[in-house]
Formats: sequence, structure tokens, C-alpha cells
Amino acid sequence: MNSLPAPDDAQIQRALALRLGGADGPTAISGWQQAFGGNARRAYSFEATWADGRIAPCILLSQVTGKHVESDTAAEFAVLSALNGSGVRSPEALLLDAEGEITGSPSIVLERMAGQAGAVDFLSADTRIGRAISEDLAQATAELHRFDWHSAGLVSNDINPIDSQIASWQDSFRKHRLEPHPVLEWLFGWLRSHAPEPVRLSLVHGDLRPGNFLFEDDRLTALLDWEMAHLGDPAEDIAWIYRRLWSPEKFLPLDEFLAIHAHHAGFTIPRRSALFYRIFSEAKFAAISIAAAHLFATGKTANLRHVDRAAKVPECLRLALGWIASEDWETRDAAA
Amino acid sequence: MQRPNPGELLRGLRESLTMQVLPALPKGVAHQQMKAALHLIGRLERSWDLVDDHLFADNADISEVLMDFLPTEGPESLEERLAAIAIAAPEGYNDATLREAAQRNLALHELLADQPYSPTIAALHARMIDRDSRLVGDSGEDKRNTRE
Repeated sequence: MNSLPAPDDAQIQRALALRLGGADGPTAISGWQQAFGGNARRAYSFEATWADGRIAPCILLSQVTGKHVESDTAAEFAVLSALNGSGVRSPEALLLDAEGEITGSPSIVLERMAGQAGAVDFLSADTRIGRAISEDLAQATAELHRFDWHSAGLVSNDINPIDSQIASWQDSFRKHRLEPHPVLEWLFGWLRSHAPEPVRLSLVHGDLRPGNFLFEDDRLTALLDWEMAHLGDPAEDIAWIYRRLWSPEKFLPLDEFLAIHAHHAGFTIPRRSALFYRIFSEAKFAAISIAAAHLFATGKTANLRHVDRAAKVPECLRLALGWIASEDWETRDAAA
Repeated sequence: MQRPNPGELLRGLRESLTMQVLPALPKGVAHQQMKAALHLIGRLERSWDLVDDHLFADNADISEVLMDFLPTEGPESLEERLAAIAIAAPEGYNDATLREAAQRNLALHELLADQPYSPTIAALHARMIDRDSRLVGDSGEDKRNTRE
């Protein structure tokens, strides 16, 4: 990444046309417009026309400097490339610019797929459509979790990816905290000592929730935002989908989601794992919230959505401690 | 007493911005920023006069628990252990007593993080989270299906 002034839109389009076209000559770029890329990325949509006449709707996603979630654009591109043609509902990966030559920041170009991603639109859908999309989400999640990542060339450098995932969020928490947070510190220790063995080591999306998938009518068309994808316990994705802030529980109870997932994945996620990752999700959300608050406190972002994010932490801890202390957890833990 | 008090001022600020400024802003970044600011003003309005009690109650509760684990005198006593923790007083306080209490709170939290887990510590954790939840206005009601 360079430290030069950020290029303007015309410069970005010129650089993009050259990189996308490669040896065949520049690709024609049309319909250029800025799109919503979330809190962590800038996004531009456009149509690309290659020298051989092929035309595709595309989206360019470029990292912003002040972001609250660590991510690796090259790793995301590698995951999406491995998924291309696999049947997992994901956009085609077209170009990686890890050095930031196009926009000044690491970027990727993806196929732009049909559908809308609005979390509010999904969560306020009528019951029939909401249930149909949720059932399709269960199937799409299962398709991802049964994906043969090893044969597709993805490798794990972690001896224990489950421990690594807990450790990475604990590290993020320790790096960004503005106060000691002894209860959260304890919670990470609890997670380490209670993590279940995964029924299968899967490619996990890592941020699967309303807002990060596209849907059209009553069908899910694509899973989006693969920045946090990693190898891990598939229960992690399901617990995150059912985090209460955005849960589709009103459309499809968790047990029914698990049954659909098992049918399409070919393996069953133990309920104990789903319950464990429900607690993990609260620690993860607390860590993300603390990182967001740190970003604002240190002047790395002016986004006011982050200014008071640390106020989310007590709720995360209240939920996690409540589940750990409940007889419900003890019973199900022992029965597992 | 000075009227309007801070809670009344914050309410007036929130209502005025909601009625007159927010509708005048076009959809986009400025509109999103104003909505986030209004959300924060509302939380400050609900909590501005709870901060002192929260801090002093937290300090008293943690101190009482830790004193049961630590000797009453010597280098391992609570006050000696706290004095050995080098923590700067946090910014943002105008009142010296409150600033000192906040500094002590940070040291108590750090010391607590080092204590072995026990039912007593678990009960303290639960009380701390209850206090924090009340301070930030999280009463524990069901918040499903509201956007982050």
C-alpha cells in the first residue's frame, strides 16, 4: 500500500480497466457508481466489457484504513477463488489488487450478483417469505460447510483452528480495550476450556447474518463479505446467524434450521456446539465492539456508529454469563 | 440547583435535532451520523446522573470482595497491590474526586482479572455486569430483530 493521495474515480477506472483486461487490452468500464460497502470497505459497482465481448456486472471492494475487524484481502480472494464453481453460493472472484495499485488500498473485484442485502428488509419480510429465505439460508450454509476445502487447495496453518479463533478475538480485545474488562477476560478463558471438538472442520464464513447475504423474492442468491472466512467449527456460523440482534428465529426456530442444515450438509451439528458458539458469539461481538470504540477514541474513524459501541459489551456479557450459569447449559452440556 | 439540569438540556437538544435538523438532512452520511448522535444523546440523557453511583458502588463491591482474598496488611494487601498498579487517571472527568475514583476502578478491575475464579468471583462478575447494564440502559428486555 502506498501513502500517495487517494486516486479519484477517473484514475481508479483507468487503472481498473488495465488490470482487468490484462494482456488482451483494457476492459471497458461503464455504469460506474459508488455503492454501499459496509463500515469496513468502499464499494463501486460497474459493468465490465472485455476485449472478447464478454460482459459482466461487477463490484470493486476496497479496504478503508480505519476498520474494526482485521481482515486479509488476499486471503478472502483465495477463499472466493476456491469456491468458484463449487456450487457454494458466492460471487465469482475476478481480480485481486493486494498492493492497492488501483484505489490506494487492497481491493478485490467480484461478480455482482442479483438480489438485495438489506437486513431490515429481510427481518421485516412477511412470515412466508422470511421463512422461505431462512430455509434457503440453512441450505446455503450447509452447502458451504460440506465444501471440500482441502481438495480445493485451501490449507490450514493452524494446529488447532478452534483455539486460534478464540485466541484471535482475545488478542483483538486485549489490543483495543480502553479498560481491563475482567469479566470478558475471564470469559475468553472459559471459552478455551469448554470448546467442543468440531464434528467436522469446515470452511466457516465468519460473519454470516442478515445484511451479508443477497436474496431475491424468496430465494437466497449469494453469501457476501467473506473477509472473516476461516477454517473452524460449522456451529460457529449458525450461532452467529442466530445472534439475537439479527436472528431469523421468528421465521425459523433454531432446531428447524439445524435439521435443514443436517439434511443438506450430510452431518449433524451437536446442539451443545451450537450453544457453546452462542456464548462464543457474544465474546466475539464484545471484542468487535471494543475495537470499534477504540477506533473512534483514537481518531481512526469519524463514524459515530462506533463512538458508543463499548456500551454493547455489558449486554454481551450478561447474555453469556446467563447462559453459562443456567441449568439449561449444564444439562445440555452434560448430555452431550 | 441550576435549571434546566443536564438531563433536561440533553432532552431539549435531542428533541430539537430530531424535529428540525434530522428531517432537513438528505439521506446519506450526514443523516446516518445525526441518527447515531441522537442515539448517543438519548443514552446520555438516561444515564448522566447514574455515573457517580455506578463508579462508587463498583469500587466498594470489588474492594470488599478482594479484601477477603488478600491480607489486611503488608505488600500483598489490597491498598499496596493497588498502589503498585501504574494506571493513569482517565481523561474526561472534571471533578477530581470522580477522576480519582475512576482511576481506582481501573486498578481494581486489573487486580480482579488476576484473581483465581471462584463462586465469590462469579457472583461479583454477575453484579458488575448488572451494574454496567443499568448504566448503559440495557435492561435485559428482548431486543431481537433490531438492526445493529
